[in-house]
Amino acid sequence: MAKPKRSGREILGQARQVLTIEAESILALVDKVGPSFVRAIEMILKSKGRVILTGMGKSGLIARKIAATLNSTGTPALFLHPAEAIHGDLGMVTHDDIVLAISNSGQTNEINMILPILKQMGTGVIGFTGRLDSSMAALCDEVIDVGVDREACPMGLAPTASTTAALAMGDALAVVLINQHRFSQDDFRRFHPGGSLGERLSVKLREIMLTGDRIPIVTLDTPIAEAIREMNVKDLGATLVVREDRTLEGIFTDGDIRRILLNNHPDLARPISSVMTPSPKTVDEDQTTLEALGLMELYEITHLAVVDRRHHVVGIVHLHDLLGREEFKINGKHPLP
Amino acid sequence: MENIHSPKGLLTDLVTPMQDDGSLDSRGLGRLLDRVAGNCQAVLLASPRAGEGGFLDPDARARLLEDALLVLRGRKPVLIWFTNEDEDRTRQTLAILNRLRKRHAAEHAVFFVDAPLYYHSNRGLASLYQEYRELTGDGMFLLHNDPVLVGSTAKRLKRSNIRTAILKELSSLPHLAGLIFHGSLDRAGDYQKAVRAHPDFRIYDGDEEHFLDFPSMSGVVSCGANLLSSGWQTIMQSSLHLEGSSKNYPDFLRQIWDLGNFLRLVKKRYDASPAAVIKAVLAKEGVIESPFSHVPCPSAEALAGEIAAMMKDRPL
Repeated sequence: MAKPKRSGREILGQARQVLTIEAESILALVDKVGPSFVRAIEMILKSKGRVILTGMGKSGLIARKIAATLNSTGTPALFLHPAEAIHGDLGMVTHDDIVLAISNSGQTNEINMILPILKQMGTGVIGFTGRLDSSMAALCDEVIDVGVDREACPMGLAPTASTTAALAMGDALAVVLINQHRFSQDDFRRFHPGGSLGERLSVKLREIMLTGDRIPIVTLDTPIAEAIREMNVKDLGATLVVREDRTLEGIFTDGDIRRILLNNHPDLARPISSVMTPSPKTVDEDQTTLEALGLMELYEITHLAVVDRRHHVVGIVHLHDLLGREEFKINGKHPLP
Repeated sequence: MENIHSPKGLLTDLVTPMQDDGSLDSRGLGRLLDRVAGNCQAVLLASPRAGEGGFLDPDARARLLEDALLVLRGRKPVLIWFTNEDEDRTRQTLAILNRLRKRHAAEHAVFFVDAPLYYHSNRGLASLYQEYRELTGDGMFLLHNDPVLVGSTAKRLKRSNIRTAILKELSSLPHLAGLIFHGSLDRAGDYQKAVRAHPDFRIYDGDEEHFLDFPSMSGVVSCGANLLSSGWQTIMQSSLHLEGSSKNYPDFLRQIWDLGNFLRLVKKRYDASPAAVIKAVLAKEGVIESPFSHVPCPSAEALAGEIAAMMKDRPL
């Protein structure tokens, strides 16, 4: 017999109901976070080890995601399957670690079997559960209530609102830890080679270098005063020095200006070739941002000339362009947080 | 009795077994309680739908409560509906039931259930329950919000639901332990938000269909559990995730899904007149003496036959 078709309105009504229930389950947590959450954060901050996440079934999947979030935000974490733990994996846990166990019912046998052993080892245990009177809650040092009023799935076929609530509480934990660790963008880039910053570091220089008339560039016989004007106009803190055919010969930077000014009688009419730094460091336009960053770090410089095979200038990159001008300010006007 | 938590899980909305003359069928009550008590967390007596509480005078409700307490002997908490036509009679009913509760207080947890809007407006409800508290000493109460029930009264009340702000105020009273809810899921959400500061305040689904669709984590009040107590208990256990790990057998979810659909089908048959139809089934099975009900339902026998056949085909 064919199943009766549902109208679009009915379908949307049900979908909205599910989303409302799930949203409410998260909002309800706002009133539930309290001193035990603070103590859990303190436990993690004080520990010298890692955060070991554990949970069975859907809670296990949530635990895996929270572990991933903690890892990518600077809190070392890993997932321990409770069933595997019983069969030997418990050996990966040390007394320096903190275990975060997730069970909505608090009655998951596999978890309740390993918690007493962990307690014996001296490992701190934090629990996420919907039942504060459960066996698991009794075994935890700190219990965080992630209980919900109503599930969005009929007959408990799959936990829905309860797993959403646990996931959101995990995010709250991770974000608070970020702030407590004073997690910086540098850390973020280190942990996210595939993320947006990481992506920037893997792009070819040709995609981000300054080209055409945006390149500060003067010829060898240009007077120093003229070269300084070029630097001022292009606002990059340096100018490249080339032959008439654009073959790169040198670079003249803010540092060079300071050195000239220290001379008692600076002659700004002299040609730039007399004060420039010859044979500056160069890169190929097909090299990556990461490689350019490595060279800058190695030689403690902030500019690199981009040249072709004939050593002709095709562009220039500044440290700002490598990391993103809107995100990294090191000129003193917009200090790093 | 202060701060006693109301039970969580399946609350069986018990039908009131009666003889043909309308008097209490005590032996039938005993058999019925023995049948359902093992599969529920509490028993609700004299409710307006299944328990025909509106037809039971205070003395009849007292007899029902006393007999139930004697059979249960403290095995399960007992909830009893004490609402009456007006405030005076409701207070009188409460006083009679409370004397009985006090006599059995050492052994039994008894909660008084009231649908206040049946006889009172939203205004002044907090004072009313303070009075009830003083009247009973240490009595614990559950509210019953049922707009259909309130709408069935001859009185013209402005509101048929307890106002959310009023519920918020009521939930802070230590002797109010929860609410049995009928109505829209949107209102259920509003109520849950209103009582969030009191995590032990339970909101039970009074509508079995709601519980089957989007289960409240406090539990359900079920009249279907008179017939299929183990089936409802299984669904409740699954819905409230009371067991930590899922069953290992591969078709567990299929079984739960099928069971839920079966309970829905049975519900459709008793929904129009639960007391009459459920009693007709129980009488056929010999659990209670008579199918007598104060709520006449001409099709009760036919529907009971269908349910009995369904239950025979699918033993639980």
